[in-house]
Amino acid sequence: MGNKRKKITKSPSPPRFAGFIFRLLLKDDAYRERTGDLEEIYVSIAKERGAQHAAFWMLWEVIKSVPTFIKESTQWRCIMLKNYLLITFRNMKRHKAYSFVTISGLAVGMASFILIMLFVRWELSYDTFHEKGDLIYRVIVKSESGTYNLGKTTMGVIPSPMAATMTAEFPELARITRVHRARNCLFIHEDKKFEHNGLYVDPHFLKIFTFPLTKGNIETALQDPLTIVITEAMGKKFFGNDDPIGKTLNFPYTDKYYDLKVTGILKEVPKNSHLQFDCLISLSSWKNLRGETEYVGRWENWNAFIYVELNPGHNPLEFAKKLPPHLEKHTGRKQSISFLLQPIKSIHLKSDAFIEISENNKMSTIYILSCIALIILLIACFNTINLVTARASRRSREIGIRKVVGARREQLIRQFLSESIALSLIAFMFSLIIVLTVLPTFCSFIDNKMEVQLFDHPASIVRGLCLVFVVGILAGTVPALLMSSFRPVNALRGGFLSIPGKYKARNILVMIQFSISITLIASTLIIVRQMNYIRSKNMGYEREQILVVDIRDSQLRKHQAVIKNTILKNPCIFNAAYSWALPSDIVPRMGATVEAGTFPENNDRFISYYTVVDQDYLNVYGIELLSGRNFSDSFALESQEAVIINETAARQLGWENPLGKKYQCWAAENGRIIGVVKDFHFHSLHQKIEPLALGFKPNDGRFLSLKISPLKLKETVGYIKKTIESYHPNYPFTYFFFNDAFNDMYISEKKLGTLFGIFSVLAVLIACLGLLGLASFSIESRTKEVGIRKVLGASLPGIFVLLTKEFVKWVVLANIIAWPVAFYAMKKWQNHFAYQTDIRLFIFFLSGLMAAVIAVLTVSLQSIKAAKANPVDSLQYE
Amino acid sequence: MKPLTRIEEIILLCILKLGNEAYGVRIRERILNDIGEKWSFASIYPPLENLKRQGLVQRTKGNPSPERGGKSKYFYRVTKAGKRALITIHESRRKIWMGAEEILWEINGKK
Repeated sequence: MGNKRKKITKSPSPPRFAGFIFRLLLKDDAYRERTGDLEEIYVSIAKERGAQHAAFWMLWEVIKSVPTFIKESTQWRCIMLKNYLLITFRNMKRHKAYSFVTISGLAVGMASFILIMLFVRWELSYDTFHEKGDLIYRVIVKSESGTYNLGKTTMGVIPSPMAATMTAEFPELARITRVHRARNCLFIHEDKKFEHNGLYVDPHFLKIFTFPLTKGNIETALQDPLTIVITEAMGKKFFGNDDPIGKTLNFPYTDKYYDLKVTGILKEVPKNSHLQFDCLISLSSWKNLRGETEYVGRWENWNAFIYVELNPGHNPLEFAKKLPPHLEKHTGRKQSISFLLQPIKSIHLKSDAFIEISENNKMSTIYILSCIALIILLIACFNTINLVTARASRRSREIGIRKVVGARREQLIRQFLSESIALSLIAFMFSLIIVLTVLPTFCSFIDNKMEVQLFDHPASIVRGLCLVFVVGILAGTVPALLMSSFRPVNALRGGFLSIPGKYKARNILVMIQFSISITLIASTLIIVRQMNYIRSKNMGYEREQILVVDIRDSQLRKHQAVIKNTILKNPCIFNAAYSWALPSDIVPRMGATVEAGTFPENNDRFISYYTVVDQDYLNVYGIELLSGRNFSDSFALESQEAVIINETAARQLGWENPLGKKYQCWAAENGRIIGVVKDFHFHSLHQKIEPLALGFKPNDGRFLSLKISPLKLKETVGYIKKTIESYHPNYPFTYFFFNDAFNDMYISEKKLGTLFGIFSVLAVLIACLGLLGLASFSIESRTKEVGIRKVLGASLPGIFVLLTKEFVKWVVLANIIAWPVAFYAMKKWQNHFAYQTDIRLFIFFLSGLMAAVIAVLTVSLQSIKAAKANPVDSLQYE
Repeated sequence: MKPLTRIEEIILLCILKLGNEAYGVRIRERILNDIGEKWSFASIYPPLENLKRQGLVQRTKGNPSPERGGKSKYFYRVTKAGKRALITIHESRRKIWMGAEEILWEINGKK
């Protein structure tokens, strides 16, 4: 130790950090002078008072000098910057059309980017407002052996009693709440009747989640049976300006009416919450509504969403592992399942379970959209690069003069970079205008819940400026490097500069732009084709002219037979059928006992989708009966004895003649198969057709499907409404057309198609702007060549072809990249559908051709002008 | 021409007085000796650059010296224009101060 210090005092070599820092701030001479001075002082201090003291002095002085030196070095740069910007604006003013093209391309690209990023940020913001967000999980179940309905491997609901047993047995849990949905519940207060969506929840709900109460006690609000907490808006609707606390809301449930006491007022639920509700009803109300056993829950009944708050420091994965043994202990049955703890923030984008509490989005959509946003921004940057370099030759004199006067290369680079950042800033302003104008339309199109403000946070301004700089530098670097490399002699000689190497790079940029455009066009065409295929595919049932009345009211249920008869008296209503499910969406799966010996290994159990319908269902929806007979209400025991299956079920059961075979399922205790229907798509075309069994239940069901005449539609609907309302239902009359419900199944695909359409148009547009710039550059540089050719007798079409050929070549080459990319991406997308159209080669040809035609049109603007020009003008200076 | 700032004036005078020995370290020492102010290391360089740009001083590169880690000293010398500027300043100072000194001494004497 002592030795070391001695060594240092002997030959004090100054620390090197000063050199590094000064190197960053100073130019050659100043750097050498100042580090030299600094080191000299260092040495003299070190001799006097020791190396350590000198080092501290040096560190302090260096820190102090940083601001001084920065100020010194930027002072002149700022003065130059003013000059650069002046020149930039003069140039923009002088070439108005050119500036318009450049800026609008960039602005459109930036606007698309901003819009998409706003949406992405909105989606990522889901459930981030909960204070204890990192500790809140939803417990869901994952099947280890098979799938739940609709091909999903996870299910959002688990047995309700688990909540109580988990609380008792696991100290890791701080709090737990069950959540059941209460959709479209009717509430009555005096003469006011409104439908609201609610949730039945345990008292801990309000403490786990951050849904603050403006009034009421968070501890006791949802403790007692028949209590309700409502949002401010709902309170206003029912009670006006009165204080709702302590008042009651009348709540019809099955056949009875209950009074719910308002015990709390909630702030509005944030739109970016996956839990959406207008009111919370205490789950203990179920003791009154559905009985004590339902409140406690049954182990075999998987129907509760369960949210837990873990104590800090526990691993959710470890905890989830304890749950299957826990379930086994209480049910006495080993099941091949595992449990998952979903962090609440990931539910909206990453959960894809059977039975979700609300509709989720997919992470893949977010990735696709982000990619598109980046691609568009990139195209826009390429475009600017092309346009700016295309004009480089026009500025060759300016560059030459600057160089001759003594501008160094890095100064020129700085000039062009600041120019492109200024350009990007202007484009950004315009893009903000675009965004502000289209934002409402965009929001309602992409997701009507979305509510975003452009500047909700100081950070968004910083983000905007970051965008400006990134775009400015991306678009400015290439032109800056290129233009600063001009040799003053060539630059001042005037005329055009030939820079063959870089010229090729620009063509490659155009090629990339066009490959992206072609990929997008092809993808759009394929999506449109797939959607047309779905729309026109024979689903096995009819969709037109079917009106569905939604019957939610217990009041009406008692009179269903009479209602049907009354409605059928109208000559415009041809047929009517009651059912619990529409043929486009039959969800529950049911186990059945079938003929002995069919599945000996499985106790003759057969699982299929199952629903009950009445005798007119097949007729209303035009579902074809292949063999056997339809249901009939003339047999007394029909509902216990008759079952109709579909072809797939018949095939899987493997009987030669299925008619009369045993099929016992749910209400059909003595079920026999009476008929086989032709396969129809009772799910969306994302899924394959699976086995289906239909049971019989006359005059019962949630939906009344009516086959109606297209004429006198208004009168018919009025008639139905009058008939229904003559029974004084609590719920308002609701109906919809079956075709609309059908189309809703593919709404996300349709949106994707439109989105791709819009963005491919934008991409092509921007790419064309770039091509225009490139064409004008290249053609201008060949004016003299064209002039000589014309003098020597070249024809106008000949010159046109000569000038156009070169660009079309690159567009054709772009196809080679675009086709495989589009094919691969779209094949992946189509995998979501069980039924796919084939991707035909002609789509690719078509999109390539479209791009080529657009490109030729763009280029021809310039080439015709060049071909028509008078050779005298172009040659006169030679 | 822009009038010189106080700092520039002090530095210019120091260079003049230092003669052949005027480089960064000496200039800083001289300022400490002459007016008793300890300036930070960096503070003399921006004014030096300004003086150089205005042509009041000239900078020449000396020989590399070992105590500076093998780096050269950069010597400054006041140019003719610099000398003229100093004379102007001195003249105007003298005129401004004329008459003020007596009053000041008087006050000092009373207190």
